[in-house]
Amino acid sequence: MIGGGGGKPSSFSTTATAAGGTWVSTTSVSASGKRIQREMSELNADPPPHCSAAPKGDNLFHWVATIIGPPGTPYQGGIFFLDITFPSDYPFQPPKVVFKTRIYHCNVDSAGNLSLDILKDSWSPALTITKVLTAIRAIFTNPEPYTPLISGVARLYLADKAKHDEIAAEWTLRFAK
Amino acid sequence: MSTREARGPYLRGYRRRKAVLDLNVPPSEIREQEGTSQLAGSEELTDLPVQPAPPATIDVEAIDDDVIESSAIAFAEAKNNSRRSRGRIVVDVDSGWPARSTNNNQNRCRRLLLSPTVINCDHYINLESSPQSTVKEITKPQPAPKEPTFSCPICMGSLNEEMSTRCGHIFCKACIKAAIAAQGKCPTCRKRVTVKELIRVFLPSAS
Repeated sequence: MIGGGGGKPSSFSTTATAAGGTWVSTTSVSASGKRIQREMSELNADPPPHCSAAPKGDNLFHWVATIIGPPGTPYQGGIFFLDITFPSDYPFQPPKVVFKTRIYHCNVDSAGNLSLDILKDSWSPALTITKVLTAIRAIFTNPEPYTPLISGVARLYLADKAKHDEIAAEWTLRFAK
Repeated sequence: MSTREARGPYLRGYRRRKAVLDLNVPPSEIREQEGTSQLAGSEELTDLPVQPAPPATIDVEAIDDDVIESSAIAFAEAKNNSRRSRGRIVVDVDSGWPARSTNNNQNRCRRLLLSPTVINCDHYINLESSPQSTVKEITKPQPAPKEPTFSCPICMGSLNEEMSTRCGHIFCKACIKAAIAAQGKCPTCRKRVTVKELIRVFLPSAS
């Protein structure tokens, strides 16, 4: 009965029964923990299209996210897993986002690291995981070959996009399905 | 001499009328009272048979305030009209206090504005009443939803000691101080901001 009513986590009461079970109800949560909790409830209430994100286990600061390859791109139909690690001084420092699924993309290296300005110098505490996921999904559609992590892929993208897309689609089929 | 003497009490009477006018008494009554007081008060004037004339001139000057100066015939007409219109004006003006006081103090203004003032008074009243009604309309729906509470973009919680940056973005005091310490930029628009430039703001209570 209580579990059915816990679906709307808009208010954050610290009572143990009010917690819907999606997040860990601890007696005292740090400011960054509270912020992450709020982001989670916002994400549950209004999830971005083709994206999902949730804590991996009991640790609020360690999330797993998925992005579904946008249609009309060589990544179409692929499911890409990402690891998100929140620093202890989040949101004043950006979260660390790493691709766990191999992807043929000029902005993602073989270790899954991402070159995305908003995850580095252009980070703002007003940004949220929802916005980060939206931005990552945007570079699926429009790679940024002028700020690449893998220059070879970027060069191929600029020189022969058809060939690039062919390889990317192949990788998607191999690793992301 | 006689004219001077006649002017003397007239002026007094005029002053009196001013004073009486301030007490918000219909001018038709005032005029009658003044007339009697002048007759009783000024003994020198009794030998002048023309005596009724000065009150007429008194009226004329008063009428000047109401009607545009023109021919003598128009004067006579205006005299009659003025009494009616005056009565009307007082009724209208009574409804709007500020307009009335200015009319008494500034006769020149009255000359120019008199007929418009009646309209202006109406407008003034209308303007006052219409915003009140709209305000009521606006304020009534607001308490019903109770949704529009502002939250801090940094902690995503309700604002605590909200402060505004120079660029006008509002955050909790603690949140924006930490953000400036980390980056020195506005979290919303990325403009350079400093802690010194922060302004404490007080948002209207939404709940």
